[in-house]
Amino acid sequence: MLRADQVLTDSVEMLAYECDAYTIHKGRPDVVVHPESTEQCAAVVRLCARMGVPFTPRGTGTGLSGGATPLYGGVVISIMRMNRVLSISPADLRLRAQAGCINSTITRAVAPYGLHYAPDPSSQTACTVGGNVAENASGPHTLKYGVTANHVTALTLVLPDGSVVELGSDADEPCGYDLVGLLVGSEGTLGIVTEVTVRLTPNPREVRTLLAVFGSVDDASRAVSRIIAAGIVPCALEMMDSMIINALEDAFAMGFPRDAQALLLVELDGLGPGLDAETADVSDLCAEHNARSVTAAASEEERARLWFARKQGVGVLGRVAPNKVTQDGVIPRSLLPEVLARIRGIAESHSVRLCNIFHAGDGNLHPCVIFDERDADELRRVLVANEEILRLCVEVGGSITGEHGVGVEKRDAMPLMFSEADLAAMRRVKSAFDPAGLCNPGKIIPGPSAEAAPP
Amino acid sequence: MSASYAPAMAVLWPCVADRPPAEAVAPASRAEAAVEVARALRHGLGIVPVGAGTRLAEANLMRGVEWLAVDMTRMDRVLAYSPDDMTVVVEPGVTAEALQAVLAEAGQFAALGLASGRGETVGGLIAANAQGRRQCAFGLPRDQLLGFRAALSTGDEVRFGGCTVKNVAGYDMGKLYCGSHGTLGLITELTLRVRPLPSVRSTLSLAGPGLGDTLSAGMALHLARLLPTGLVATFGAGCALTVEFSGSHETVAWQLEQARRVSAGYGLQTEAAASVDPSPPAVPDPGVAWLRAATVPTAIEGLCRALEPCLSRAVAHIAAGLVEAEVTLAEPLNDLERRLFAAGCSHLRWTRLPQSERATRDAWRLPAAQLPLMRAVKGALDPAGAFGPGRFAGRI
Repeated sequence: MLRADQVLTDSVEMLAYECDAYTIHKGRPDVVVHPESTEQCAAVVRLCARMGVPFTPRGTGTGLSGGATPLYGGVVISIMRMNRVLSISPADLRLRAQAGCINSTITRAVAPYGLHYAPDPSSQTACTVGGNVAENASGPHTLKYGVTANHVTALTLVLPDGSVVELGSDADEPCGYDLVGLLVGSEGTLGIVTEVTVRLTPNPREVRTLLAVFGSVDDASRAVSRIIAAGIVPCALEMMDSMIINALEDAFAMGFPRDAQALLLVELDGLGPGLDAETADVSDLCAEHNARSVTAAASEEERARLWFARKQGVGVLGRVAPNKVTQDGVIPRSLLPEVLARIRGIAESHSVRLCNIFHAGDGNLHPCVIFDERDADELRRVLVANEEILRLCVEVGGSITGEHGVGVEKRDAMPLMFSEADLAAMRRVKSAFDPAGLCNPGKIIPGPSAEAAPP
Repeated sequence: MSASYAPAMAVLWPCVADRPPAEAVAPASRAEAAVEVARALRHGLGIVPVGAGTRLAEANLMRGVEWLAVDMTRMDRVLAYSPDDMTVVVEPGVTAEALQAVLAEAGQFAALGLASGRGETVGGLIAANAQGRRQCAFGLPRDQLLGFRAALSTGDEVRFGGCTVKNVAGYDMGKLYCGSHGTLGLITELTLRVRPLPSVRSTLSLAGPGLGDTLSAGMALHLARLLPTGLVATFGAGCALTVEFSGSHETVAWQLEQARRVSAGYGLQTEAAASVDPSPPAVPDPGVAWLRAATVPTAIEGLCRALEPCLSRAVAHIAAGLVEAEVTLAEPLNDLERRLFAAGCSHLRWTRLPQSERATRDAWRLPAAQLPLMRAVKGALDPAGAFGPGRFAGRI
């Protein structure tokens, strides 16, 4: 079925597979396998099904909610070696890849055609498209171009009994129940996706990138609300607060003013005509909200540097504290100023260190709490503050997660958003695909089916 | 059958079933809808939600089932609208026109039912996952839906998704309900994303000398990397190519200029009047069938060629990879299906069939391997099998 080099059983080697980038919950796998084809993956799953062993799919482990954590041990099925681009049809804007293909590899593969793959999570140079499908991943440019669910038309799925089914097609329109739509964001609980057909996006002809510096988070968040309300759809609208700014300065000497309280990174794209006028409108709106300065990236290098800062903004916190939890709540975007202020209040009341770096345009917050997990009391306060922030997001009409997924991290917060009847329906859908409950058990849905160890 | 809703159902019921409904009701609220669902379940009736009734004939004929028609058109309120958040919560019976009128006052629109003009309800458009010529720019109704409530055959009212533009909490059930034709439950509330209205919308309509040149020009426009909000070729009495651009004055003017330049050389003539996309009637005409064939842009011409021998009229959505056509019954439909699949059709639906064909032909032609999973999904969300039994793909 597999060669010896495709199977890990050494307990030291398997340490890396105990969790993903969410490190608070861990689970020890009994074995890790690296299939290289859909057939090998299906054979492993069939064996698990026959023996009643739980299995957990895993991409490159960049997930932020514990989706790839083998809570009940069993087999971790890594799709890392299934990393090839299989076909490209530029005129149809389609690409087929194995699920372990790295997100940015897709964009590199289609760059010669003037195309790219739009969902761009910060981890895009490391994360897999299969993992993106599992989490319905998104990134800064989601504001204009949509999330993974808007960019996937077909999947090859290994069902939890080890059978293989092709879902969707190259066509835009789904046929019958939209099973591709259901699978995207199902966090590897309904089967293992081994191949993906994605929709490609033509590169914009013109791009304008602005950096606005603010003396207060309030002013910056009001500027965001105003830009959206003005009917402008930037392709990205990102905010970073002072702790992030200073961590970036310490690490990379970006040249950001250390006393700034917030930076807005605003990007607009289009065909060219009218774009300068729209950029000027954004600049004016920032100025109206007391921006200390608004500057446009003068070259592609400057633009790349600004995006480098944004994408390193979370990782760089490793210099500030040994551990971090990045939250992912979403709120109605008009409430940004109020909610950010309340989140600051929550952090202060529990004496936790919190910073913000997030997709302001879609109201997708990433309050990032930094701590030292060896300090038991600090860890306790962090968890309490986390839950209060989630409650706040739901209370104002938002969601506990915008792009990181529920996984194990937010499983027990699901009742904040969903009734028992809602969750029961989700459980029935899970059972329709996975009646034995062996496929990534313990994720997303709380309650009896999640708590009980699988057979 | 209650008197006020009898007239519509008296005409429409043959689109749904082999017999008229045992009853037709029209709830005015979520609570009333839940009561009607519970009552139907108690009496063992099948349940069929009805909006404007324009797309009832798209699903299979329900046979041998006593059923309740649930007219949703009294649930027609806009419940909450937050222009700054660009989201709107509606009852499913609100018509697309009524919703767009409310949104337009705040300079916004929902990418749903934009060109219908047939009184279609938002719930109906979601249930049919039907868009139109702007699909290439804004996607399908599935891409507009953020959250919803539905009454299920378990007796529960469930709520999935949320009110924000981004949300990945729990399974994305909305995707299943879009295009489910009322077979997974009764949708009672919908939350949609809205967008800023463009300041200008402008259309270039060109008359083509023939199918080949018209589609070649269309393909050239597709490859020109412009941002059309519609790119369709229509066939019937002549051939026409229509491209629509929306946005600021400058960007629309520039794109129109580019489009004229790209399409020159294909022998197309500028037309005075804009073409209208042909759309099927609510009640199927005898002697013709309508189909909706999905593919990719490069296979559109092949599909149109395959249709030619029995084509009476069609609209090809070039960038979206979709052909909707009215065909004559001059040849067996199986032969036409074979030709279409050989030409690169990914899947197709018979959206109108003559009554003689409806009893025997599945309206969905999709890979059979997907049907067991669809059946399992139906069992999970409609465990009592009450919602339109037999109406969906594979007679699910």
